[in-house]
Amino acid sequence: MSSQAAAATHRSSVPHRPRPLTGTGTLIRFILRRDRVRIPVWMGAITIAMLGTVLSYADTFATQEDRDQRAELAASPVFQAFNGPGYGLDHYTFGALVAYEGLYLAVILVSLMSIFLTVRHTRAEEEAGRAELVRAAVVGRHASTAAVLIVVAAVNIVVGLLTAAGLSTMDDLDGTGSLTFGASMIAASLVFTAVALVAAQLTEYARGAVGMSVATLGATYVLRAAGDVSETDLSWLSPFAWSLETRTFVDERWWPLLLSLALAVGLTVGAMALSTRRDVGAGLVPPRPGKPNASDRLIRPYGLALRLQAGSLVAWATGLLLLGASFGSLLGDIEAFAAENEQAREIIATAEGGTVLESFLGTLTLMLALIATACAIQSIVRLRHEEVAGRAEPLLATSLPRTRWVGGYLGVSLIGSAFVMLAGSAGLGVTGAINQADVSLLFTQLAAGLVYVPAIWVAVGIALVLYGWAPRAVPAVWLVLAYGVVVFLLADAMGLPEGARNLSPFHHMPELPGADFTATPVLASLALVAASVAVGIARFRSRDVHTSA
Amino acid sequence: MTNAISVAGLAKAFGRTRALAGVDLDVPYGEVHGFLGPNGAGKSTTLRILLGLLRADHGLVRLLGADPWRDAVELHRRLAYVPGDVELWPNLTGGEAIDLLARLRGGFDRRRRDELCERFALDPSKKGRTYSKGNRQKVAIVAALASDVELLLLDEPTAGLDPLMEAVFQDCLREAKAAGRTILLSSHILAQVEALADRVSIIRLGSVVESGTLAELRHLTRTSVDAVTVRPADSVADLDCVHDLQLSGNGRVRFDVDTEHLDTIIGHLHELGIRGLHSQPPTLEQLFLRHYGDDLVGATSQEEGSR
Repeated sequence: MSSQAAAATHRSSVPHRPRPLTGTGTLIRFILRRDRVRIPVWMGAITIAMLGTVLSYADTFATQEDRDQRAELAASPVFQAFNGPGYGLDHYTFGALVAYEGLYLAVILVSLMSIFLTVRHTRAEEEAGRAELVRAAVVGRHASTAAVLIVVAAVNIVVGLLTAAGLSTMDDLDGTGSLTFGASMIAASLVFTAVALVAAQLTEYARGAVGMSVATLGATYVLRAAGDVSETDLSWLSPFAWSLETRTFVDERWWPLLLSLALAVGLTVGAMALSTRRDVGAGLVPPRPGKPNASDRLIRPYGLALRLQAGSLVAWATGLLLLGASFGSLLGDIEAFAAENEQAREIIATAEGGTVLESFLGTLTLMLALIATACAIQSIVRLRHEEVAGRAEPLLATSLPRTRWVGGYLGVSLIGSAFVMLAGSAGLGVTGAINQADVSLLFTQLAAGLVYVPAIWVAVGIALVLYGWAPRAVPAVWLVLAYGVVVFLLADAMGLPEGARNLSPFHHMPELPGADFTATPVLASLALVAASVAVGIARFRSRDVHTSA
Repeated sequence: MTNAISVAGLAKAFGRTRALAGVDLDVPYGEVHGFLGPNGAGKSTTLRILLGLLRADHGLVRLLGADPWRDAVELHRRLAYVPGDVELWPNLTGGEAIDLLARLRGGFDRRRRDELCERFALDPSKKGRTYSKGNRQKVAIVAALASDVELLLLDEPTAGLDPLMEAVFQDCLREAKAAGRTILLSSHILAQVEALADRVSIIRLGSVVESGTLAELRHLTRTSVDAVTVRPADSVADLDCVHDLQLSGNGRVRFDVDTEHLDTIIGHLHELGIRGLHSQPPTLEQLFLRHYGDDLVGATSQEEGSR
């Protein structure tokens, strides 16, 4: 009692040393309280996705003979571009297969989780102005960053341990290897957590911080792919390579993970240093004054929607263009390779027929379409963001009809996603055409991409129906994309019946250039889009405009 | 049609929360009408229904002779709106936001817009993200006043404005009134309403409890009287219309009187011989407190739901 009183007087008279971490414990509990549903859902979803994938491998490659054939395929450049340089291929055990073919999926999933969680509790809080309230309390300068880092790292460790525990229960997978697998996925994820911390210092907007971090994730993946295909040491610049170099389930070594840890620590220290050089709520780049008057273009109904999203659409288009281009440059001698490997033919060539190359191009195009759908959805859900942020209300209180307000965002989403899809197809087409010395490939790829556009638009239509009828459920439209990805990646492994596959809007589309073009699914999709747009807008016109979620 | 706004029996529920339970409101053309009520009483909900952003469950609503839900777009050409909580696009400048809102409405006058920016000391080249609360509010005010419209719907328009800007705003509203515009002014700043409003409606728990000119409202309440009489005024205690009587020797008496009986009481004091007399009509604040003071708890619990 008396010592407390003494401490109080002491504190007021003597300047005490700064305590940059004061309040970290409270903030950790605060984050856990806020995300008491979100964090377990992330952990459960990633663990289940990983174990489900591994179980499907166990099914597909049950015998050593299956795996030996798979090993031949795994030695191909295309395969290495996606999965990295193989190891243990001369005796391709189940463990080697799981690590080689599953690790990158695990790294990507857990890294995305880390990026989203990190930005959510750093830049997003600052952007919303809530960080100011927290920082005004008895909280040290670095307490928020430290709290986020500790929570995200802990979540990563739990996911890694859960995955390792799940793996170790399977036949042929030992405990050491399972643990190495878990550690390898965590190490890379910690790097991207730190990347997100840095990004959160640079930009004022949460969306921008997520964009930068995901772009870095993609860039390091592509960097590694380029290194692995060209068989140079370029790959060693990427955390993806460091995780795979643990040679999990074959001859484990943990030292490559030290590279990840060192980089993560370095980036974190950098982020903390940057954070002391800026104001709370601000980015590192001070805001510039802009135009004092609106241009005529901004006043047109699509003008505002386009202005708000132009940057994001250009980023999507550039990303997809580069991704398509890197796919195209890998086509190489796939034809010759497939001729030698029966399993490659089976995997690449679908029931649609056509040459191996054509089928492979069809698969790549579908992949691009799924990514372009993410762009379309991200764009159309802005309608709801603008509404609940209270920015729709003043516009709808002018003589702008509701239909035209929705129409602006709808138009940008539809045209924008088509543009992004065509950018990806053009990238694939150009490098593919050079690679195969066949100019016509560019045009067939553009056509192939265009065919998927109505399927992408179906997701937009569904979003609009939700927007009209059940606006709070708009985020559920992401399930359309998620289901499309499940059908694309896992339908065969899961033995999904045709009826279930048909629920994915992408499954109906003819996989050009391998398959023949059929107009029916394209026209049916367009009709569905038109109908859902009409229903969604009609319903929105007869409902209340919300000013809060 | 003599009323710019006429609302009768307006009801609106959000789920199980009843936000409006029979609002009646009449605003003649050219009038400045003060709309008072505590947080969550239903002011913003009423305004949003007038804007056709929310759909009324029951009741009759006519705005400038039209139906605000069905004819929203046509009506919006003839009115301007300032919300109490302005959200701007973070990467658009204030000037762009003003132009966007005002030009989408129509009747945009650029000279007037520049002049208003100057009067309100607003820098239109700053990004929306960087504006303070008061400056965001100015953006909406300038956008609303820059158009030539018949009706202004203002929902606590000056929240966050400094007193200097408050004075500029009041000048602008006086000019708008002189130009014959109708103004519905929802506000918490009673001095603002007192200075500007011709008539006042007080809303509480989703229905209008009082409506009239300030003089009429005052008539319904008590006037405080402070008098010194020759003979002791003990006898006023017997009158029903006298409240809170304080007698303090030397002939001084203080009490509140129901304003409609003011004449009676002054006659009574006259008979006692008036030496000094000071009488004060109730301020709007007293009116307001009289309506809410007794049930502030009930009113605040309602607040949650109507947000």
